Amino acid sequence: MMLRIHPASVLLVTMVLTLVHLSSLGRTLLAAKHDLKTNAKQCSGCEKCASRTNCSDACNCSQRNCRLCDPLTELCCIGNGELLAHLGRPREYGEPASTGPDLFYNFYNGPTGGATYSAAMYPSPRLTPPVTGYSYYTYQPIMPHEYMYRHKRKYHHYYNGNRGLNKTTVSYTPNRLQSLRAFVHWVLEPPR
Amino acid sequence: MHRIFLLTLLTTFLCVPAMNTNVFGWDRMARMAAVRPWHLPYYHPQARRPVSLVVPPNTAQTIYSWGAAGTQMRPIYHQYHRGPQNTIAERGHLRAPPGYPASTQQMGIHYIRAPW
Repeated sequence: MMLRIHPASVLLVTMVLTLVHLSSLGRTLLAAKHDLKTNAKQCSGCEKCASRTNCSDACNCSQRNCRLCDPLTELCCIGNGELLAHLGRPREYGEPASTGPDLFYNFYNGPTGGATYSAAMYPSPRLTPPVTGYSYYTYQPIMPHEYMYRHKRKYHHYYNGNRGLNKTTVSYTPNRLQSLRAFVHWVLEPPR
Repeated sequence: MHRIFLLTLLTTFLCVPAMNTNVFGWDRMARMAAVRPWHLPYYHPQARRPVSLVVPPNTAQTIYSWGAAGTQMRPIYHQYHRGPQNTIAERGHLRAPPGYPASTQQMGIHYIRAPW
């Protein structure tokens, strides 16, 4: 016997799931309205809370729609510093990245032997505006320093609980036609 | 025939100690880099600090300077690595590059090799 699922029921289930998802999302979105100008989240949902001068004061209004009274959905009053800590502080030159371990890593040369400065190889993600966050090289095989010499590299990635292996071989070699042309030019060029 | 074979064997045995990688390899470069600074006390006029220029990892540098024996060809010991960055001690007394520089080392730009 074939089990048949009617398309109308699929549509109905999808709509219900979407509505449930949207309702939970809207609840959190309503709780904290993000003000980009001051980088602070404004309280909403309760007149008593919204009219306060100091947003960090405790709320005792015990209204149902006040998110401040619900500790699970407490999203208000994220100040400038906390938001910056969440989004990422603008980084100075040479400062190491403190976020994810492998999304972007930099290479450094420390101030050894009495040097005054240390050097970071990629100064590129630097001094970004705080709201924007960071900029990253998200694909490491095409980072520019890989093109500086001729080599091959293999990237391994295990998936499905080490039961599958995805292996990628990248060859950083110049174009053969251009190499041949350069060689012919080198042979035939007049002496300087 | 036996003589040639023995000579080859002898040459091989004699050459093996000379091919010690600790003398000319990455370890030696790292050891040399650990005890000397990557920049001289001159800053780059625009950046107000010494600027590192990333070069391929298999590069040597040529330094041009005044004098009969002024031009040098020397390895670049310093190389970018992935380890933790050391603390920046930015309280050195760096000088501006002189108006009539005597060496290309005084321009505030220094080569550092890219990671291998």
